[in-house]
Amino acid sequence: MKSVPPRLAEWVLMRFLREDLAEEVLGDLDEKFYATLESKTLLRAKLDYWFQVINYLRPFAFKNATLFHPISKGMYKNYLKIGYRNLLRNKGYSSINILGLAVGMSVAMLIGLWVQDELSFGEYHENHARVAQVMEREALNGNISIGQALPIPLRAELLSKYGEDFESVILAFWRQSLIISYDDINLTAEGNFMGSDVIDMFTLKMLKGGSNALTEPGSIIISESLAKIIFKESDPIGQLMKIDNELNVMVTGVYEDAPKNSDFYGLSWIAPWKLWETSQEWVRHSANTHDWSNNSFQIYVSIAEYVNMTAVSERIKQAKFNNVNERAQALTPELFLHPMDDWHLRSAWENGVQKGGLIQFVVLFGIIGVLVLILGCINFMNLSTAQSERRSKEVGIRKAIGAQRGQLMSQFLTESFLVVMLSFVLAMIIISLVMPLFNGLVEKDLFVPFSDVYFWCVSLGFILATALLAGSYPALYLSSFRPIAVLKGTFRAAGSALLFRKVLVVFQFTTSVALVIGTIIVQQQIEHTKDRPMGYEVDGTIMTWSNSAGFKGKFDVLRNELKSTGAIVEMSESSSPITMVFSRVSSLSWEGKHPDYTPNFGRITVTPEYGQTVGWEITKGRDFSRNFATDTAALIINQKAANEMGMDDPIGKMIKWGNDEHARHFQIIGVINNMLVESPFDEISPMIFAMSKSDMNCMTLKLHPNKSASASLMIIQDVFNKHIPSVPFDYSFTDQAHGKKFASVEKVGKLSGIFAALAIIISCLGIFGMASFVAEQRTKEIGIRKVLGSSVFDIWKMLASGFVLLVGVSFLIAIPIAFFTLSAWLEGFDYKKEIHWSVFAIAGLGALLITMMTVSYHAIHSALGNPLNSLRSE
Amino acid sequence: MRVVYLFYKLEGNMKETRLGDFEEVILLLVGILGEEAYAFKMAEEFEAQTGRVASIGSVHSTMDRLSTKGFLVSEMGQPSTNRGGRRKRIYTITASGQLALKNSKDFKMSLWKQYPALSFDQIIFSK
Repeated sequence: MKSVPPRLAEWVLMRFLREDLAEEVLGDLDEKFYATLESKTLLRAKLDYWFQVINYLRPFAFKNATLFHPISKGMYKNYLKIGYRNLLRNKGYSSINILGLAVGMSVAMLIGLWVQDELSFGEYHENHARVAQVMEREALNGNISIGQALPIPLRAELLSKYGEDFESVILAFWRQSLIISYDDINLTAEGNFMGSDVIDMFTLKMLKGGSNALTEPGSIIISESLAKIIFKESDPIGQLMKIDNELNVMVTGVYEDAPKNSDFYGLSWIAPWKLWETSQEWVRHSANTHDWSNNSFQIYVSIAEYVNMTAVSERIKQAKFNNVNERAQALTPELFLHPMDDWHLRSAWENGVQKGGLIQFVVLFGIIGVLVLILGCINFMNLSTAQSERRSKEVGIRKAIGAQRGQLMSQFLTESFLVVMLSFVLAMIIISLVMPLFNGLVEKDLFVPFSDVYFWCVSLGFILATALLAGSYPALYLSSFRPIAVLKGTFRAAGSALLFRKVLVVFQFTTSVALVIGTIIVQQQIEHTKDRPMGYEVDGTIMTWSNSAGFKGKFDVLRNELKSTGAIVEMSESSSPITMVFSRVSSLSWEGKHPDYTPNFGRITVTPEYGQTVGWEITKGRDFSRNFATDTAALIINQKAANEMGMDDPIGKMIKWGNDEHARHFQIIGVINNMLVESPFDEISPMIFAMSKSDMNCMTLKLHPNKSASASLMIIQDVFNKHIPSVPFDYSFTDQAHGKKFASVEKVGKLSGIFAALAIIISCLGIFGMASFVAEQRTKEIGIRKVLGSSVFDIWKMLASGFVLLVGVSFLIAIPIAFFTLSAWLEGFDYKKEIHWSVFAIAGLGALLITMMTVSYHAIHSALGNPLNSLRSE
Repeated sequence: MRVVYLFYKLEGNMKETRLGDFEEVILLLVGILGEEAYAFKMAEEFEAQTGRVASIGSVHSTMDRLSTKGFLVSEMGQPSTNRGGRRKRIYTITASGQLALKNSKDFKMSLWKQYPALSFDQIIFSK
């Protein structure tokens, strides 16, 4: 092999190196090469040559530096002035440009703020990266379910066996609304009983009191807002309060209210776990006997500073399994840590595996935001290339008198920057106007952080990026004209430019049509689910919590008095409201039960009037009755339960409830139709209803249908206040509680509807501009055609058909995209409406109609024009 | 790229006369090498004197910058065979280059004069 410098490297070097430097540089590199060759191998010498070439990638050595010739201030002033005049001359195009971009920008910014807020969830708590909740996986009938309810002794187990992994481990009950009383103030506030380390673990900002405020069992810390309500200006510290009219506590601390993007938002008080443990008999029993079978509590941990969350999660896997009895081991409980950073965004599970959650919407809307912005940019690109012929003469003259291509590029980029700046200002105005609406929609307190430097940096980057994105094609395309062709008049817009414009329009309409299809399908899914048969009467019933001690033994008095006033038809008490299931049972057995089958039945205990209150439908057997003393050992099941148990005629069958010596036997007396108690999107689960006097949590009242609800509510409130003065009367309508289950899906529906509408508007603005441009360009042609006898319809057809074709193509592309995305979305629901072809037809026809209307304005306008005027012009 | 270039031009126009560390070494080497002061030899000499590797490109760009500042002038020398018959660009130091070197040295000397004489209790033995 000949020892010569690598030719390829030389060639690369000559690509970028200034010509006047070529001789000396090549000479130096040759010398270096031969010098290296004397002491090293050929390969090393060649590699070194490459190294030297790469090191010549320095600004001073570049050729064509004139492409980036520094442009004096005067030139920029000229560019801005010409750009400004161009905007004014084409007011129509300019407003379409600026408006489209501004709308795109506002959408992108609003979504950006929303995404940022969602991603920052939990950052209020300083140690968020080290905090986690202990959760478990359990195998149930071949399915793996996820649970966060754990037994009390697990905390001690984690601390003793895995102590070095954790900084602290706390037990907590569940968030609940209880009555907080001070003096003569009684109010219901949401709070929780949590281990005393909660303050440090979640770095609650203590305004009064220290981080040890919860060490005494008789203490309580309250949020700033609750303190303001109860104590006004006076000092809350040391004041005595009552929780639920039972527990005496002393205020030992006040903490700052957590912001909306925190899991502690709305938590008004925290009382020590010890207080809950000692005051509740069943909890005390569970704690004293180290009961591993009562899974009713939550456990939060913060891991030690230099340990890895996943590693700890892996280590504690068997901590529960090793301690529970055989029956529980059959479910193979497996512990893991759910990091705090994932609580909000990643808490959907499917068969035991993390399946995203809210993060999917964050990503989805992020993509939509970017798409809408791109749609706005496309208008700008399309309209400026379409106008290029008008400006081709200007470009030709500029080139002829010595403008470099780089200068022309800067000119067009300056113009695009001007438009983007104007759009940005407009977008800011739009955002400040719609922010309250948007906040209402997404239920957040978003605001534009005008005083934040970071925000302005992002905005500036955003403006630059948009200006480059929107201006890059016109800049490259317009500056590439050959001056001679342009000035001689032989210049026509290149076919490639036309094709490019068409591709952009297709992109716009594909996005819009896909969004429209998506919106229709989401809406259909919501409507379909709302129409789902409930199996009970939703309207005209109210629910009130009755778990306070004050309610004990008052049910009959309340019922008799309320019925005598005529305000209600019937009322009942139950363990959970009709819209929820608090408790599930698996320790059920019956004759003919398959040994491997583990039931997972919802359980609601009720008073005998329950059925009449909610209006359920008995399909077999009979309802509960006060007249049968044996009904305390009777069960009513739903149809689904009957099916699961494989009983064709369940009436009179016996069911054993419990596994140990305390097991009880129940007789099935009735079957009801499937009531929609839980999520309307899921399958109905098997349910059992039993009569009981304990574990009653709420009352359901059926208002008299012929009386005004507000008058009835007044009467009910009076009666409640008379008999239970210690508890403020608070109620909710059942239909509203049911409606709330749709809230998150409806939010998605509304947002996608808005974005689809905006996308359509932006796209239509775009083709509106294009149509007017085409019509204007073909004025003379249209004039001649009319003179020769073309009808208005012919001309309209000629002008509109091109756009209709483009929309047709977009439609064909949009169908599969929308179909697959939405099929995947619908997968998440058990109860769903299958996608029907008519949806696509509606969206396609709609898009076509809108396109026709948009295009027709200009088509008809120019078709109707007097050919004399168009032919005489110039 | 545009930003870099504008900045570079700006720097050129501002008649910056302070010397960077690398620039100072390059200027001194130009003086030392005399007739042999061209990019390749400079890079070789730099490595020989400091033990650090500098690419020809980096040396070249620095000399180019020093020329813009008026500290160096250059002209094409004689062709030679191991360069494929190409000429080399020989750099020479100018009077203002000499002055800049002297200023830099004087400045350091004045700093050294103010520096207290070395004694054991003033040396901090770092790990």
